[in-house]
Amino acid sequence: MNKYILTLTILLGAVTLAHSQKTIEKKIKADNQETVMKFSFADDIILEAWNKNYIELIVQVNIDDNQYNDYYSLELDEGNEKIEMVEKVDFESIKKLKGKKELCNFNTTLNYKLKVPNNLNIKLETISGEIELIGCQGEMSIKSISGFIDYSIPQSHKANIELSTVTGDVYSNVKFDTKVADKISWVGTNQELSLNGGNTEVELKTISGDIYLRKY
Amino acid sequence: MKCEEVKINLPEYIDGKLDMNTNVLIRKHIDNCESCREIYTELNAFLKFTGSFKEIEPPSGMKDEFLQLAELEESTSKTRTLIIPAWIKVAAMIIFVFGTFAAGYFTGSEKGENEFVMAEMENLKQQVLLAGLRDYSGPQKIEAVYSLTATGQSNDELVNALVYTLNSDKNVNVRLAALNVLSGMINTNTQVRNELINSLTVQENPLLQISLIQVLTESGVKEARDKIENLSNNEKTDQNVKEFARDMVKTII
Amino acid sequence: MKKVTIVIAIFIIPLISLSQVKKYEYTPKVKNRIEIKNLLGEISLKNSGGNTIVVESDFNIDKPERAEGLQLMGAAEDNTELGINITEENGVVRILGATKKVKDYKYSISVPKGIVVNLDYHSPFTSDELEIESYEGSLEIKTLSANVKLTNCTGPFTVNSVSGNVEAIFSSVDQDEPTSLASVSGLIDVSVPSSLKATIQLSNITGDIYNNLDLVNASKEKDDSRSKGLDEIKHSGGGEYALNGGGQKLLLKSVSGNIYLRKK
Repeated sequence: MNKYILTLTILLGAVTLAHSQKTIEKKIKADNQETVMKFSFADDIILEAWNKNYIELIVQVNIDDNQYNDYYSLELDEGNEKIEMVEKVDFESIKKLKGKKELCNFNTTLNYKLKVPNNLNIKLETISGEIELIGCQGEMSIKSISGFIDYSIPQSHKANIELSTVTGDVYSNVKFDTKVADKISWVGTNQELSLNGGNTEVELKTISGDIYLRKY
Repeated sequence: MKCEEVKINLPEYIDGKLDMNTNVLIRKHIDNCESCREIYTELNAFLKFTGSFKEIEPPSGMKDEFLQLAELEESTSKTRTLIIPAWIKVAAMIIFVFGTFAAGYFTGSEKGENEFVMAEMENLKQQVLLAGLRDYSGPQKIEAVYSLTATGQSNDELVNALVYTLNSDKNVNVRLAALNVLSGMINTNTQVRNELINSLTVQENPLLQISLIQVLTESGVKEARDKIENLSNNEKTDQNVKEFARDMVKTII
Repeated sequence: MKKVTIVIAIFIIPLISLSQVKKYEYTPKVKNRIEIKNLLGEISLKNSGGNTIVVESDFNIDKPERAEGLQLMGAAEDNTELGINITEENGVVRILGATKKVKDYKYSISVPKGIVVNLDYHSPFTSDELEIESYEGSLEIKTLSANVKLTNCTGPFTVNSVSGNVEAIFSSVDQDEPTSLASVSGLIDVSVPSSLKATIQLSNITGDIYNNLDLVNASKEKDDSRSKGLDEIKHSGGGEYALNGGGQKLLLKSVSGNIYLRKK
């Protein structure tokens, strides 16, 4: 049983007065495991498919003009069945240091860029992250609260796409198999679409974000 | 204009229901296309012939055919749609009268292939019927319902057709017309009586539910009482219907 | 001395006015039937002399930049840039509203002659009024609570509604096919030319019926020897009345609403 729990915290020991952006880079071996990503406060999340069998992850962190970057950590749990990446920002400690008055101008920028194996099974959750999925063909469950989900779908991909947005809109230039169901949902847009006969299950859910589906 | 398009619009053309431009285009095509001209001449002659029919006996076995229609409803794009125009003042079921002519028309007037034609006939009959029913508009179907009854016959096949319409036509006004006609038969025909009681469980539209309840209670149909009560107790029933049902149930002794 | 010329660019922001109308034309392969559904906004119908269905609308939404090259997709995919989806299958042209957003816009549809229009205005999200003016042709209309007003039309119509009122002012009445107007709790108000020949069937349960036409009771004769020599003044199940000797049928039904019959 190879199970490591790695907590990555890179301390910027640099003596510069001006703090700089924190960048975390990691290569994670992926072998058909279910990959769970919880990037709650992310701004941008880009997942791009590639032919290699490992995940390349780059995170760019800037918390309040780089002053609190150290309070960001990415918990990585690599198991046989499951890979889990959880974003952790110690807001409590930051609050204590900053004092309540200063919280108004608090700015966090967290950008995630991942290159993932073509058929990686992905479970992604975020609150405000704006998600771009490029060419991914594995089983996916993508959930965001306010961020948009932009999925570039390879033309030959056989997928069953279940999408739902409550107050956002859906835009697409993809030709799906079945006729788009013509019942107007009471709330938002909900669709179950199949592409090229369907097969791989893809779930795209957002509350107030838009959903974009593109030919790729 | 292509042959397919001409064939499809021929009935309307003969009926004079097309606009000037299309008329001219069809005329030109017919003048120059032998196969379409043949079809036109035959269709014209046939329609003059059927136009002289006053009363037409609905064919037997119709209930089965109608029921099969419900299954065929999801039928594929292989169905060729023939638009039956309104001047045939009888209900869609009577399209069966087309017989061999229809077969020739659909398979493209290659009359030599009779065996093939005959084999396709049953299938085509149903498709024609399906197309006919599907393509009638609401007002046309209401006209059909009243015309049928005007023939004065109230045999089983007629009742079945009306009940089918009452229970499955998509247009509420058409269903109301069917109910109207059937309610006139409630006291003389037990089948009608039973079918109307049964229809209570099928209808979901408030207009129909209320009309059915009214017909049944006014005709003193006691057997309907339970079903009416169920409707009034069901949460999902429209408020207007519930109130009416409750009032009416009281009048059934 | 160098003159510094300052050029002030004045940006004239175009008024995003209601008059910014977009058009979409569709030529049906078979002129048979149009089914309009989920088009929640204001709809008006016009007769067209040609062979094309033309839809005009002031539909205008702010498509985000990211959506460049993509079509809006809701209950149906917008394939016209007007927020509607138009397809044709088996002789039926379907016009579907793509999303609920269409409710805020106006749609004017020109229909070629001989096409039956089926208008499903049955969604709970529709506008409150459906007004069709000066339209000649067969209409099938269904609404939930929206009122229906048909002015200067000939019919034939089938209209049914649950709580909407149905008002029809006929310029003339189609003699080939019947018209049926029905509502559960809405009122029915019909105006016809006084010279019209028609057979009017009235059905009403708890509402009242008002009339100023010269109607003659034409209810089916019952086999009641006791009634010989008497005029029937109430007929069970609603009555049938002949206007000017009778003619095509006008079927009017309301459960709890009133029915009004007027000379035009």
